[in-house]
Amino acid sequence: MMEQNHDWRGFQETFYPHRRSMGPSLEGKSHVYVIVEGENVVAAFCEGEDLSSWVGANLSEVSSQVQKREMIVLDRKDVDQVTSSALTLPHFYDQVELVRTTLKPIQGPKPHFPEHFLLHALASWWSKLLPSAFGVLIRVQPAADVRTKAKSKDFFILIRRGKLECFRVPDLHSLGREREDDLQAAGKYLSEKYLVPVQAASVPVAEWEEWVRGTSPWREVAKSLRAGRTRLMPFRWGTAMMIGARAYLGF
Amino acid sequence: MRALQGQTNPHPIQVLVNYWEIRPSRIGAKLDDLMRLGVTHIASFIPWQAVESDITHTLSRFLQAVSERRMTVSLIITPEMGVHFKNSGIPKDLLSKSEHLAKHHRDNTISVTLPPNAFALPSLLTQEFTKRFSGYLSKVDGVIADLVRAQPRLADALDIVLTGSFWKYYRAPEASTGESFGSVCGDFSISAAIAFRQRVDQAYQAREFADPTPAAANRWKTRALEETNRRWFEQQSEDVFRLRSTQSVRRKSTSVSLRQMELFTPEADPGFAYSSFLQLVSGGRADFARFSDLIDEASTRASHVGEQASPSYIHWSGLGGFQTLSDPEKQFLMLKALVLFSGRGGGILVSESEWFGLSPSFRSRAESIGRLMANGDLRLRDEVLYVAPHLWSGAGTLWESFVERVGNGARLVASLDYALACDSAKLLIVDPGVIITREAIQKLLEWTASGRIAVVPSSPLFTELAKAELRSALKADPLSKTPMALEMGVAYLVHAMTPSPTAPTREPGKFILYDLPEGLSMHGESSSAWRVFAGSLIMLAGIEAPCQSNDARLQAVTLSKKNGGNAVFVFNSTTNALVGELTFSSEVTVSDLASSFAPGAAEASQNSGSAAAKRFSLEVPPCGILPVAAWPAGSRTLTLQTHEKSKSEAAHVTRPTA
Repeated sequence: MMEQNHDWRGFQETFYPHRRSMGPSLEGKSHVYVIVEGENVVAAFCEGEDLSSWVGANLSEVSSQVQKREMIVLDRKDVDQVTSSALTLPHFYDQVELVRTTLKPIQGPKPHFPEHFLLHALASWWSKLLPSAFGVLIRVQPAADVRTKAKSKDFFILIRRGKLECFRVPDLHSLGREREDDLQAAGKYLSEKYLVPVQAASVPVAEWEEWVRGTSPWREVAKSLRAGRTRLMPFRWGTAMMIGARAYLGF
Repeated sequence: MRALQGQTNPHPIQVLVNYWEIRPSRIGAKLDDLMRLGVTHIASFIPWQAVESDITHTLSRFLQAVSERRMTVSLIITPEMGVHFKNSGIPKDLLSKSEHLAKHHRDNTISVTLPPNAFALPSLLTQEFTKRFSGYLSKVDGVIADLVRAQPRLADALDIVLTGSFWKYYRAPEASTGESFGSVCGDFSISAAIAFRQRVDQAYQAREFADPTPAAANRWKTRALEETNRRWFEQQSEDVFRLRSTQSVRRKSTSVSLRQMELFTPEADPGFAYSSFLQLVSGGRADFARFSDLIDEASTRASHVGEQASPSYIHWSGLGGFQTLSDPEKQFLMLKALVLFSGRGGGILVSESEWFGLSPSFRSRAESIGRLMANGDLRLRDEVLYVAPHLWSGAGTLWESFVERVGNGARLVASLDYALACDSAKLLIVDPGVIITREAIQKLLEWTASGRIAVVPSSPLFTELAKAELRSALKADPLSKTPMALEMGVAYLVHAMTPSPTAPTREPGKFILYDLPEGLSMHGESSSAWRVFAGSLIMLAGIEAPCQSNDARLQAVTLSKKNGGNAVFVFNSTTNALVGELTFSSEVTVSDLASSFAPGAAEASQNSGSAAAKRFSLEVPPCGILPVAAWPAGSRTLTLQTHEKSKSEAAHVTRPTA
């Protein structure tokens, strides 16, 4: 496989698994996003709604149609500027992060994006305690009843100086068939390959997907760790304590 | 030249399996897995950068493995959107200098916000790009020729696909959010401006424009014709790019088949850029309705390369907003694109992860529709062709009036060759912005000689030779001597034309010249005049929509069935169940589409004893697609299937209404 250090497809599948059903309408709950040029609406977005009729309308006209919801208004020039400044960054995750952190609405609150719990934690105060460069190997285990058919899915991220440098499905084939399944061996191999310490974790798929969607997953992570359903390899007390701090102390 | 309507496409659903994403040691196993799932044909992009750095010869291993398994593969070699490779495979150095980037008509660069990284589109007109691209194509040509020389049976396993690349995406997002192809499309960078001036000078040196004196050529270069020339230039640049690309890959690998394809990636469309931006910022699900509109808009454009048709495909990359949609929404968009595009020889290109992420029952249903299209059992017919100077720019009210009236039967083309190859269309309209040369008049006369109607503006964009050609043709034809003057919104003259002995009909053709009164623009207040004019032309051509829905939210697309009657697909792109009525132009009976292809289905329908009707009520579930077979006589009342088994549990009874 050609070296592909930014495997977006794998990244999305691992960290942002998509919703299969249409789900309940978010009408009345979600924010309405509008991009304007002067007073003119250039684009409008609200999840699950067709706002195409707003394009070309006056902002004051459409504002009157939004009730019980907050409207976040962005200036087109700001949007273009922040987009073009993001182009210099190496990959989509960094580009989107830059957009989210620098974008300032001209009306309404700053957009809040539901970030993945693990990526959020790695960028939080954890980064002060963690080494300047390290890797995380996530092994998502299939459900027990299909274990005979489905294979576990591995995904590796490498963080250097607080930035996501590499994300990809790791190539473990040089370990050999038997040792590929050995989480400790896989972690060790990646550590030697990338010359960084690697924390490997094995997680059941159902729990992983539940945590992704949950609002406070760390308590569930801690419970799963204690019950032995989630495994850290190697087990480090420091890592366990950081998880515990997020789970029980809330930071 | 092959007739377009007779063309069928053996692979309307193409699963995208990118060879460079497979570990070399896993290639065989991967292909075996695909074969077990019933996939015998796949498509793969060849990223430019991958070819320049493929030291492991992954491509040759991949092709060999494909050939060994008697599978086939389409290799898409033109730079495209939605390729899971950094900068869509474009070499970084071609994007690092601002002078190498394309600019839209509002003088900004054009950013594509699709993973794995957002980047600004390069200009396809810089010398640097042209030189490097030509080198890349030669390398691909050489690699494939070497492989086929070493293993001749590889030639049967692969075809090279050339696409329209980035040309159609050179649009300003702010001008494209309402209607994607409604604005100006084109590269306005400095390199493009230089190329524009050079090409205009070169083109108007031709004898045709220097008639009666060489100084006459200057009238074609005036500022008043800037927009006309711009559109001509954009179309010409794309045509030249595609023809040169074709030549570059035909030098050595001559035994490998080469196909043209128009690939459209809705997620990368500038009209979707701000919607995509807001979706990313909010973390929500992408705008499903906008995707649905984009499919409709793209389906109205028909591209053509030289003498080859370039069937359109919708590319669902699974990298952008499409990935965030729910399964019912994805299924709706895939089926809609499949019906609209494969009905005309195109189809859908879907990433492997997206395709196999959907339920087996959905895939089986899509495949059965694909098979009908591939066998030519269902065809989407072009009824009206609108010739515009540029395929990807807005064409104004007259064109929109035809879309409103004829729906999917109206197509915008930029090539008269396409029109001549299309045997189903009865009416051809030439946009007032088209430069009319002698050759164009000859082709239009050829069109009318087949008993059809050509509608041409009395515009100042006729060359002197074109005027003379038309005058002499009208004078020579005994039927055209007494034209009929009409005024329906716009004044026009109808010249009857004698059909040629080989024409499929003995009905005379018609050459219509319409006036362009001063002050009658293509927009604003004048729009009603153009609408009336369009309506009168449709009546004159005897074109009638075979089936219409009474609810604008329910879209009815009619395809003709090879074994008689029509197939109507009713699309509900809303997230609510809709109850509506279908009105047919004549009395029909309806039946389940799938069973209508069984031997004797037509007779069974005739003998069913049910009353025929013109109107039928129906209920379509959220994101539902209801296929119906309509026979010209007899009547049946059936429960119709929807696009998901679960949805068919809801009642969707189609019954005649008073």
